[in-house]
Amino acid sequence: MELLTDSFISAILLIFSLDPEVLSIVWVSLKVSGISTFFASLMGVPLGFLIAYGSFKGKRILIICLNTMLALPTVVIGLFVYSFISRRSILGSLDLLYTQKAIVIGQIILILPIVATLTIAAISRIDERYRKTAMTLGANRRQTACVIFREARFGIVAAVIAAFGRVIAEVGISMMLGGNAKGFTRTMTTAMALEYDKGEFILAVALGIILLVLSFGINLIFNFFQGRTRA
Amino acid sequence: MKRRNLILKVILPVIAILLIYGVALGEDKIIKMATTTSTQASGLLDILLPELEKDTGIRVKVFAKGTGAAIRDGIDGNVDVIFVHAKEREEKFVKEGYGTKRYAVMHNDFVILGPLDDPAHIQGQSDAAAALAGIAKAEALFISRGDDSGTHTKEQALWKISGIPLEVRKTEILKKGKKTEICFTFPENSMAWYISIGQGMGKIIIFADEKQAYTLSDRGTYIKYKYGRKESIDLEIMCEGDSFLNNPYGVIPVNPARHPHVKHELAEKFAGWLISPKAQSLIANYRLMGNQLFYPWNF
Amino acid sequence: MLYVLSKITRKYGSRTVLDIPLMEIEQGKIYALLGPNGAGKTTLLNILGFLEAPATGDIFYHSTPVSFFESYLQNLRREVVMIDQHPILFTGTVYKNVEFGLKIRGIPKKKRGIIIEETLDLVGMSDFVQAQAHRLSGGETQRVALARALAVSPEVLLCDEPTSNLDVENQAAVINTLKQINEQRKITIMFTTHYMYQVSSLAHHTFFLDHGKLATT
Repeated sequence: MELLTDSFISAILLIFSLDPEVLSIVWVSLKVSGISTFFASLMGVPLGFLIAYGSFKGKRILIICLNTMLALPTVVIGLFVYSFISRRSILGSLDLLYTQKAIVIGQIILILPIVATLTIAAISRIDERYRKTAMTLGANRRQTACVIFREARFGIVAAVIAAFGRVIAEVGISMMLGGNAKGFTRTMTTAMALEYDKGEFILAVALGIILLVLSFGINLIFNFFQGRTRA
Repeated sequence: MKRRNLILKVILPVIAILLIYGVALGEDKIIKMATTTSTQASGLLDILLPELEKDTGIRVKVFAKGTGAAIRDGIDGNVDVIFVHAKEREEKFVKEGYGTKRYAVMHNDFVILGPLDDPAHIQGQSDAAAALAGIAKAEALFISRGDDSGTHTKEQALWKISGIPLEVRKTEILKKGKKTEICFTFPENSMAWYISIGQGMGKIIIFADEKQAYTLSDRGTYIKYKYGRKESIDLEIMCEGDSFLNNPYGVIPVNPARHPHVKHELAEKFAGWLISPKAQSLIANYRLMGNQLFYPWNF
Repeated sequence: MLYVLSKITRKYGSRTVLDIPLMEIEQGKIYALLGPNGAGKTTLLNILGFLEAPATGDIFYHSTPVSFFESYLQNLRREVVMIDQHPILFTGTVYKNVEFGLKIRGIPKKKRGIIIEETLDLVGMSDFVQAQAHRLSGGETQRVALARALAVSPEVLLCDEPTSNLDVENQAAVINTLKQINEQRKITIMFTTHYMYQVSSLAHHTFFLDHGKLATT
């Protein structure tokens, strides 16, 4: 018990002292996750939109593939990207490995299917009559798409938030592609893994608390938006 | 009725078997040991532990971690014995009453690794501290364990005698309700070239090789990555042989006065066996890719 | 003739839902489309609204043959508006809903405001201009949908069961509005219904549709 209470009290003190190391780690985490969520959404939302909205050959197969990719473990993605950007491989000269960019690449692969499938789900939930109504009122394809996008916007925001929640809590890719370099690629989760290895739990517990609070907040917002779509 | 049958016919026998199995296991001579990644990764334990079981019947569950975590396991009573390489901290561990006695087992040495083109021009340097100073002056990339391990402890000690201006970061923590400080020492204004990644030795070597950087490693792990893998690394030894790079390993049974549940008797027996002539000669004769990794203490 | 349909068929799988050798619709008239459920009434309205293409056959609109290319149909749709049996309103205010068709036609904001005010007045929904569309009752929704369709000044208005889900009061309001716009704006109207009395009071002509086949009276 002493271990837990000691760690917990020190962790709280650490958080409220706005320790620069903690701040730097939290900042790196938020920044990297934010950037990967941004790019994944930039690609995933239109992709999901096109798949849900369009009718073309292989649509079902594509959706099945995306759903399969949802189950892709982070270590597999890490290994895959690693094998491309390691110094000895094709893209080695770009010196990407163990940088924030490398983490972003891996994380985009991780959450692109999440954004796309949740966008597809959000669009599919939208009543078919919206499309028909927009068309009969004279809307062209782009304008009709805008209507559907507007009606599905809460669902799409929920998709983006879910993706962010996934990357902020992800450890495999950040560790394998970022390498946990202090001040550069050390994120909340990799720092926690490291602190455990060191046998020092205070920083780990502090980061754990911050991560939980963040996740809680993210889920609150997610819930809010999900509720809005159903109403 | 059906549910009752299920309980009688399936669940109860399973519980019974588990109980019997558990008791049987409990009577077995098994101890838990926290050790550093270097002893396990080098393959030494694979040679020693089967012989130990043959001689004494003791089986060892091994938890390989950084030295800091291994010592922490000892402090918390998670293990019966620790086998690590950070002499000062081991002595402190005994002095504070967590362990009964430190037995010196063996030693090996650290080496400073670097890329072939050697931007800091330290190849052949026999003074380890001067080599680090050279890296700092050239601001060549250096990868640090940064994980409070034995290697990290040694690295910080080397920086302290290198004459380079240093920064010390102190973090206050609570231990048993008392405030304690932990310190991290690293070169001043080194943001651009000093990278602390807080991972195991193997990861550090891969990282350093990827970034073509310098690092401090134990010889065993280096040999394993240089010659023991299909895809070799490019890093070379830049500095070796300094007496300061010596790396002693000790084994310490956890104090039963602190943690009454530990199997102290078996742990003592294990430690005694490690320093016996037989184990010591096993250590002396162990070779990895034709290289001697460990030198027994009493040989 | 406004519409001439020639040898139109429509199939869903192997089932023929529509088979019309000839159908003519005159400009400025009100047509009732009667028939049992599943007779193909909605499908016919969809085809007249250029929302669905027939499997075979030709459509002449203003004596011009219709080619079923999306961009071509888009232009025709600007003159023909269909109102669903259960119309759905966009998320947002009543104002925004009525504004939609005007906005995509690039009508300036000031003019939009005037048209919206007029049409909402016509359907008796002026008091709801800033109301949230999703909070309206069934009858109010139907009337806003009617206003949304009328705002774009269509040539043809297609109504699928415009009164089926309404109480008597709202039914009368909708019927009166349809009559009024036909007289004042010369809008051609086709509506489907189950109620015979509406047919006699409102329609100039009636079509019967049964199993996709047409019978005129």
